Amino acid sequence: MQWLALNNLIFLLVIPAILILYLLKRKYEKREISSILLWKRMLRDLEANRPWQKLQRNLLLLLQLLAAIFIIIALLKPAIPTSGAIAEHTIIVIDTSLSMQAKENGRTRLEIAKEQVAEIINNLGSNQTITLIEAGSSPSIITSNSKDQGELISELEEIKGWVGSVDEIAAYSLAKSIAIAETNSGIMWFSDGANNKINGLQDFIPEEIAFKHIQVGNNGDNLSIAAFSTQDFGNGINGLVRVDNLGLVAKPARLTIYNYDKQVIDSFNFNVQGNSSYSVELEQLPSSPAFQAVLEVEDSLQEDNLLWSVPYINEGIRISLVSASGNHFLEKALQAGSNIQLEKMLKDTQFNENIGDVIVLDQYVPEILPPANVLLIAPSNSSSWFSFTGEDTTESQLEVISTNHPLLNHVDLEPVHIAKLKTFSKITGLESLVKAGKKDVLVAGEIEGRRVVILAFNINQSDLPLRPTFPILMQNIISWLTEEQQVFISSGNPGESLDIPLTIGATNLEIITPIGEKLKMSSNQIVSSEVIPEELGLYQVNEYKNNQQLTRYFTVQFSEKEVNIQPEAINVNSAATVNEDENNGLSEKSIGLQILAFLFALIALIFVFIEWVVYSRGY
Amino acid sequence: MNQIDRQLLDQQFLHQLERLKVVNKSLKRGLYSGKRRSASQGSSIEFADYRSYTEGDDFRQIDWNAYARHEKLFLKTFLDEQELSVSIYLDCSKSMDFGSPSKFVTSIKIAAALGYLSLYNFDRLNIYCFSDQIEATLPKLMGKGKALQLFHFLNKLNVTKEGNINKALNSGEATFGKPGISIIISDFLYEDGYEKAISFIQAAKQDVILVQIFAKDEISPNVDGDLQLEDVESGESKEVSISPYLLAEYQKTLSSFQTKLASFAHKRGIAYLRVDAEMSIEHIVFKIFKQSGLIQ
Repeated sequence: MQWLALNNLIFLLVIPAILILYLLKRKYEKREISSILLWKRMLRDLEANRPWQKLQRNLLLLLQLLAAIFIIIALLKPAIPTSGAIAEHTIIVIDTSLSMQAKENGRTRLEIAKEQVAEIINNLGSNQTITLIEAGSSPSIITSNSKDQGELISELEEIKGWVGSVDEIAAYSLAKSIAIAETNSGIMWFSDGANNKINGLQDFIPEEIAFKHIQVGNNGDNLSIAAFSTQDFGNGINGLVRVDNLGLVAKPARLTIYNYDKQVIDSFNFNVQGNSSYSVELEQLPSSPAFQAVLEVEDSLQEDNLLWSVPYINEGIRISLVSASGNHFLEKALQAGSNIQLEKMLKDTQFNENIGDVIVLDQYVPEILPPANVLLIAPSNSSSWFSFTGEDTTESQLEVISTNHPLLNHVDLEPVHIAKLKTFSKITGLESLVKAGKKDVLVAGEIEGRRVVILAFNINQSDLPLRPTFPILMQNIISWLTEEQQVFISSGNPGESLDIPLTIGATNLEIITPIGEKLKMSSNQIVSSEVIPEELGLYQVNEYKNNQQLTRYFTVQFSEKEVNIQPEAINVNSAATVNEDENNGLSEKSIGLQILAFLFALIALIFVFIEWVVYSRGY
Repeated sequence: MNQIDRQLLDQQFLHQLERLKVVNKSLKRGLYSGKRRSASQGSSIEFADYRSYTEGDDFRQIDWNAYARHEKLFLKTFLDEQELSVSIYLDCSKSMDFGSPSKFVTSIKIAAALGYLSLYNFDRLNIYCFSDQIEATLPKLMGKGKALQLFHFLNKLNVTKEGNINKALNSGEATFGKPGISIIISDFLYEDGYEKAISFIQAAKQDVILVQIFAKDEISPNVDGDLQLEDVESGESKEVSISPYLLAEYQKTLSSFQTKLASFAHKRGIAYLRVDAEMSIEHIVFKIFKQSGLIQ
C-alpha cells in the first residue's frame, strides 16, 4: 500500500483533541431524585445483560476515534497498485539479467515477470497500447505501441534470460524517451531491482509520466563461486576457490573440482555462514588445460554454481633491454605491445636463466650469447659469437630481400634513410632480410637454438622511429622472437568484448563455444577483439600454424555483481515541474494505483453512523 | 411544603366519608351467636336473622312470638358489633417528599381520610409514622371526636431521613397487639426490601393493605442529557446518559418492581393498591379504594 498524501498525517492531532474534549466534556448535571434504587437496579440489569454497557462511554469514544482514524487514513490517500496497464501507452521493460534467473518457489523471476506482463496484456483496454522493451546487454524494443494481444504474447514468450548484466540506464533512457515522445505514456519496470543502477540516477523523469517498478522476487539467498583461479608455477598447478554466501542464513554446500576431462580431482564439504565466504586452496593439481569448480547447494541461482578456470601460464613477455646510451624510441616501441614487461639492464650484467624471454641489446654485444632470444641493434664491438667489422655510410636504397618473412609483415622499410650502417661478418644460421647495397641491414635466424635478429644501424641515426612502420617492425620482431609461447587469454563476461591475442602467422582461427558452435576469426591482427556470445563456460581458441593445431582456452564467467540477487525497489526521481492545474496533479501521477480513500471515508462514515446510533439509543 | 392545608379534607368530603367504613375481610362481622360479648355496651346488639332451633341451643334466645305464629321454634340471631382496630403506617422517609403535590402530602391526605372514616365508625385507630424507625405514633384513637386530634397529629408530621421499613416495623413499637387492619402507605423504595416488615405485620394478625404511591416524575422521569442522579436519602449518586432506550429500560424496571410487590402481596392474600401523588384525594378514596373494596 502506498500513501499519496503523507502530509495529511498532521490531522492525527485530531485524536488527542478528541481525547481532551472527552476529558473536558463529561460534566454531569446533578439531579436529586427520590430514590436511586430503580436506576441502580436498571443499570445493574443492563450491565448484566450487556457486558459492554460498562464500556458504553468508552464505546462512544472508541467509535469516535475509529471514525477519526479512518478519516485520516482516507486523507492520506492510500492506494494499492493495480495489475493493469498504467497508461494509455504503457512501456513495459523486462529485466533479463542473470539475477532474474534466480528461482522463487521453483520458477525463475523472469518467468514470474513474464506471467505478470502476460496478465497485463490480457487485461489490456481497447484504447491501450503496449511497447515491450527487453533490457538485455543493450535494450531492444520488441514490439512498439502494439495493441495486438496475440502478437504481444508471442513476442513476450520469445524473451529469454541472459547470463550477463543489463544496461539499465540505457533501457531507462530508451523507455523515458519513448514515454516523452508519446503523450499519456507510463513506464512499468519488471525487475528484481538487484544491482540496479537507476536508484539515485540524476536522470529525472517528467512528472506526468508514471513510473512503476514491479519488484519480482523476494528471496536473496544465494551461494556463488566468487573466484576460481589456477596458476601454473612450472612445478605444478596451484589454485584458489572462494565461495561467497550472499544470503543471511548459513548453508551447507559441497564443492567439487573437476579437470578438463570431467574427472573429479578434489571435493570439499563445508558450511558457510551468511554474508561470509569460504575459501579453499588447491595445491599440486594434475596438469589439465582447464579446471571446473562445481558447487552443489540448494540456492536460488544455479548459474553461478559452476565456474571454469584456465591455469595462468605466462605472466607476459619479459624483455630485457641493455642499451649503451639509452634509447627512448626503442623503449616506447617495445612497450607498445600488449602483455609486455620491459626490464632495463646495465651493460656487463651476467646474464643468467632469469633474464627475460627476449633480450634487446642496443649498441652493445656481450661476450657470451645470452640464454634468450636476442635482438641486436647497431652492434659496435666484437665478441665470441659476433665479429664486428666496422661502420660505413651508405647511400644505397634499402632493399627487401625476403618479402614473405613474418618480420616484414605490414612493414615498409624501403623509404627509410640510414646515416651509418654497422657491418659484421656473416653468421651461420642468420638470413638476410633487408640489404643496403651489399650490406646487411636486417638479418634474422637461429644461433645455438636461440632466435636472433640483428638490426645493423643505430635507429637514432635514421628516420625509422619517425615512421609508422617502426612500431609494427618492433612488434613483429618481438612476436617472432617469442612466437613459440602462447599468450594467456583472460576471462570475459558474456556480451562484453574480449581481446584475444593471436599467434603470429597462425591461420584458420576459430573459437569453439561451450555448446560446440564454431566462430571464425580474422587472422590478420595481433589481437582480435571479440564480442563474447551469451554462453557461460569454457571456450576453445584454435589456430593452425605449419599444419599444427594450436589450442588455447579461455573462460566466460557471469558478472560478479549479478551474483547478488537481493531484490530492491527501484525509485526514479521525478522532476518537480510546476503544475498549473493542481487538480490534475494527483490523478496523473496515480495511474496504476487504486486509491482507497473513498473506501476509508465510507468506513469512517459507517463508524460515525454507528456512533450516532449508540449515542442516540444509549446502547 | 409539608404544612398540610387543613382544607384538604373539606366539610363536604368529610360528610361523604361518613357514609363509608373500612372493610375488615378476615374478621367477618356478625356471625357470632352471642357467646362473645362485644366490649361495647348498650345498642350494640342488632337483629340479624332467624334460624331454626337445634338441640343444645340456648332456649332463652327462642323467639316465642314466632313460635306463637308458626308453632315452630326459631332462634333470633344478632349482629355482634366489635370494635375494629385500624392501623395506618405512613412512610416519612425523605423519598416521600417528591412530586407535586408530594407523595407525602397525598399520603397524609389518604391517612386523614381513612383515619376519619375509621373514627366515625368507632374503630380503634393507630397512626404510625416511620422512616428507619417509628418516628411518631398516635395510638388508640376512637370516636369522631378524636378527628381533630388526628388532623393535628398529621399536620405536624414531616419527612425525616432515610427509610428502612424492615427495621422500622420490626421494632416492636409498630404493632398494637390486637388483630385488625393495617394500611401501609409508602413508595416501598427501600434498599433492604419490604418483605420482612410486611410479613411481620401480617404475623401480628393484621389484615394488611399496601398502598404504593409514586409521583408522576418517578413513573416517567422528565430527564435528559448527562445526569448525576443523587438519592435524596442516601446521598448516593449514579452517572447516567439519558437516552430513550435508557428511559424505556427504566420503565421496565419500575413496572417489574411494582409487579413484584403486587405478586408478593397476592401470594400472601394482601391487598395492593397503587396511587399517584398527583391524584385528588376524592379520586383515590371514591374510585380506587372503593372499587378495590378497601372501603365500602
